Amino acid sequence: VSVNESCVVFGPERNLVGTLAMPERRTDLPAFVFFNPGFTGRIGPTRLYVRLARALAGIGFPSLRFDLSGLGDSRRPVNPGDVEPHLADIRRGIDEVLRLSGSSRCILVGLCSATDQCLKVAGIDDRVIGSVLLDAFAYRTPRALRVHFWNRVRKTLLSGNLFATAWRMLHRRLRPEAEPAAAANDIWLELRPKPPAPVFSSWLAGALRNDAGVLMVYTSYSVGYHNYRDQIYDAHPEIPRQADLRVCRLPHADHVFSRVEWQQDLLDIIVDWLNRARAK
Amino acid sequence: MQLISASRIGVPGKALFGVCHLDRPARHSTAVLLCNPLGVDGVGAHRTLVVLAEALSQAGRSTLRFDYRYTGDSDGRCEEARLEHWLDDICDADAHLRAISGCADTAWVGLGAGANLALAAAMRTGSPPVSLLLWEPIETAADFAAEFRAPSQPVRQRKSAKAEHPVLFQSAEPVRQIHGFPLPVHVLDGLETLTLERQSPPPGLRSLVLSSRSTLSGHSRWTRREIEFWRTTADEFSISRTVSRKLIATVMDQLRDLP
Repeated sequence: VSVNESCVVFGPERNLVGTLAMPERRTDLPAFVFFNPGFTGRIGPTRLYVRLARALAGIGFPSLRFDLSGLGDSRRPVNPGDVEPHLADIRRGIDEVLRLSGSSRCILVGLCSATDQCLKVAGIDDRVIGSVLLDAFAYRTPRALRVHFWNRVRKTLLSGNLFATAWRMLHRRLRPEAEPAAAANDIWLELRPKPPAPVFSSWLAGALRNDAGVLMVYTSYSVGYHNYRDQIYDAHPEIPRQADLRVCRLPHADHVFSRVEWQQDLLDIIVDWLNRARAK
Repeated sequence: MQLISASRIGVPGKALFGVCHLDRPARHSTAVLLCNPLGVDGVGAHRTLVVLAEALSQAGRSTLRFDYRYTGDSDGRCEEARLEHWLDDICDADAHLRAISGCADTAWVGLGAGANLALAAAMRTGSPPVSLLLWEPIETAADFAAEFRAPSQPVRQRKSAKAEHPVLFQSAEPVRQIHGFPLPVHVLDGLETLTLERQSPPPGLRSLVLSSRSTLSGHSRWTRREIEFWRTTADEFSISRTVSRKLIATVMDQLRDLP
């Protein structure tokens, strides 16, 4: 597959650095925009974004992957003037990819904390016609708790370690500070506080306005939070069921897609979603 | 004044992504080429190398950091990697740095597996650097096994269930993936021959190993004079995730007396 890639430097202080991937022939398809998941550079964890961008260019979708200011190769601006600088950076990235690719619409891709930024920008920028959210926040419902509980019971019974698991669960309840995994999770929650469900609902509703589409993919990272089909509608009753919202689960994949096979599964889901949108 | 320019070096299909931190007017005649680690270490150490490049350029030294072919933002797929191309890339990046900075000499700083590649490239290039700083290189076969062999897994070739979908991975060669980075087995075998215990210090070239391990201390090819042991805690010498200003300062110290 032939893909033309070039380095782009943009922004008011030319401080933002990115890579434009263009298909061999220009198309009128929307452009994809990738930016930093957390502190990781624009290539994404395990070079995921480079692979996705090139594969998408191979089927006609241009893309820009770039670093937000102060991350990766992009410098902090000398004169920061924006209230939310990273949201402003994303909109500058959209300006740039649409200008260079000739497209008029775009699709944002976010992983983990970047999903919040995707939703916020999609809610205010009419050029965003789609968002791909990888491990966005998920909100437990009573049914999700039940499913999670029975999954744990089934797993424990199958593993044959009933007593060991029961002891671990009890220990975790009695001494949560002794659990390294829980402590690590607390650090992440501190870095990225979870908004109340109604706030997330409003972000999601914003991203779905004007018939825009949203694809949400949950990996094993979210399995304790998101574990059944339609959970999103139970957790966020404000979201109409006729909205262009697709939720997929990849419970075998990890948060950073650290196997090529999982990266391929993700690409398949995205391409299916694009094909359905085109068929509409 | 520091100028920063991001560009693609070389011809399409073989282009390297590089960022040059230039000092204008040049205060030193020796520029610094930074050689990335590979794989997940390369992703994690990216910010460390950005901070180091900025510190060097503020100290008046032009610096180039770049991604090897098949890695980072450079052209090529990981599974098509060739060891000799990575060595060529270091030499090409060095030539680019000399041309763009106007510096007659360069010093190479390699981090992790990038240090091993830099050492091998220095041995075969026609215009070697004046100094080689090997920062936490892979020292022994045991280190290599722990970093590359142990976490490696086979890649399941896709059975084109969805023929119309693009395929992310295709290789006719045997390939192993390490934390999501697929590499041909012959590249892994080749990398293993580049451990420090199997290479010698390049003759006539100032080379220094910065190591937090002590595995090389009894090795005959590398003398005590060529090895500087970090006196740091485990957290500080981690080449990924966190940027240790103390380590950056130590690396800067080692380059201070270059012209």
